[in-house]
Amino acid sequence: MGSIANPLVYPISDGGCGICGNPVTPAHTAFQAGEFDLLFTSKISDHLNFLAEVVMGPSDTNLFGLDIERYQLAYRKNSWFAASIGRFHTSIGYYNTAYHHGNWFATAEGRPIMYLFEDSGGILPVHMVGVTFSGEIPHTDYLHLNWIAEMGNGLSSTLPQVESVQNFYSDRNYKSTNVAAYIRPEFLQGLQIGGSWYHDGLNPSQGVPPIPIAEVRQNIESAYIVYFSSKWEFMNEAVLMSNHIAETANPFMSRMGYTQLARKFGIYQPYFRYQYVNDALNDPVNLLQGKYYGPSIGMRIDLFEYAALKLQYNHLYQSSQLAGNGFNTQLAFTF
Amino acid sequence: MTTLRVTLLTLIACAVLSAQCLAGGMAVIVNKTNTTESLSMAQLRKLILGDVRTWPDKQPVMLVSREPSSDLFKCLLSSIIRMNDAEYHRYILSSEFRGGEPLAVRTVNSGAVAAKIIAALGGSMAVVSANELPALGGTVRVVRVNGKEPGEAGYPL
Repeated sequence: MGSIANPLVYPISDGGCGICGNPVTPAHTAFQAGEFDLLFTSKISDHLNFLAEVVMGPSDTNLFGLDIERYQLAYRKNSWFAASIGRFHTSIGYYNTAYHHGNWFATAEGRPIMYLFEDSGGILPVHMVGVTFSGEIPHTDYLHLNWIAEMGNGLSSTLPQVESVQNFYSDRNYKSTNVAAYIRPEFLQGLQIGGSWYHDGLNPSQGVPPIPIAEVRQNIESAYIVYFSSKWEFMNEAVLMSNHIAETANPFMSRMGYTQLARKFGIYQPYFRYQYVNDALNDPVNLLQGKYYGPSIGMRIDLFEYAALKLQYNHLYQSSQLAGNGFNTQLAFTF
Repeated sequence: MTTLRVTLLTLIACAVLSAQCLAGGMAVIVNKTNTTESLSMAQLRKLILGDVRTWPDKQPVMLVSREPSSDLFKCLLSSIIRMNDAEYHRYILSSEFRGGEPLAVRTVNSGAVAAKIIAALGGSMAVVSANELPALGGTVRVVRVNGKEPGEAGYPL
């Protein structure tokens, strides 16, 4: 199974909408070759599965690159317990584990800014290299209470990096941990409510290059409520990130969130997204700093069963420049 | 009052039409060793969508499905899953993309073939035309839905 996203991006106007899309929206009107995303799955035994997601795509250098975005070996005992090891999406909030690189699956064009991938300027540890455990709590048939516990390398301690996800080398012994829980109540099919708590201890003095500051304790809390029916899609998420340099008084707080509403009318699916990201200035470990907020309005047209055209208008305000408008098109399909 | 009555009658008519999307209705069949006696509509939906992958007795679920072009499959989508064909495929693909285990499905072209497979495989299940049940000769077991058997008043399929 695979998909191609963004085969054609034609921003009519992009004044200031520098990071509305993913990958980054170009400064000039451009036809843009998109990501070519391949998903491999294999059932090794009754309880053991392998999954890999390999993405080929060009960057703003115009060179094509190849990334192994996910690969994980998963052991699933039953619905109450599963374990997985490898490189996966961290269970922060909802969007991050619900949508990956295959843009055909997502209604809107591009991820919310708060969930941008690390190599596109995102500040959240979207990817994790480590282990994840999950399952449904027995005898919660009415609420379907699920739990997730993860441990991994966390992001590198110094930014920017060519690759901030620590795939092989870790600049510290401290490991990041993440716990999450959600419910899918029986009484309303399609409703999911959940939250997560992520903790890490970054050590910029041990990074490459080293930055002479004390350890940074990072906490990320998220909460969300989403609802999906055959017609409606309603997603609401909020994340609070705190980076606290040891022995200093106040942490750097970053608040972010978005709401997205969509309704299907046959092959047409108009949608609206409003997003807000307010990253603390002078944060020692964040690449993206400042305030970004504004609405996006768009239309997804499912031209064929496995091909969709998306038209999206963004009106994004940034603290560092004037408000900007951007119009993006995307043709996404899977095969 | 008249408006309310008309609305109620319309809703009842819609429900009846939905339940009768296949002449004679549908039935859920499983292997005889399967200990599940009855399924709710919500449980049935989750089994077909792959949201639930094991039976209470820990056997893995394997779906035996009629071909997508069949009236039975279309009826199953509209009355149980409440999705159209495209939405159903997007849901299944999306689940796999999120890391879910690939759904184990065997596609067949008749209830008789489905019954043969189910009789041989412990955790398998299928939704077949209720009209085909007499011909299956007791090789499989029919599971009640919402506590009702096919043909019984209030049976939802």
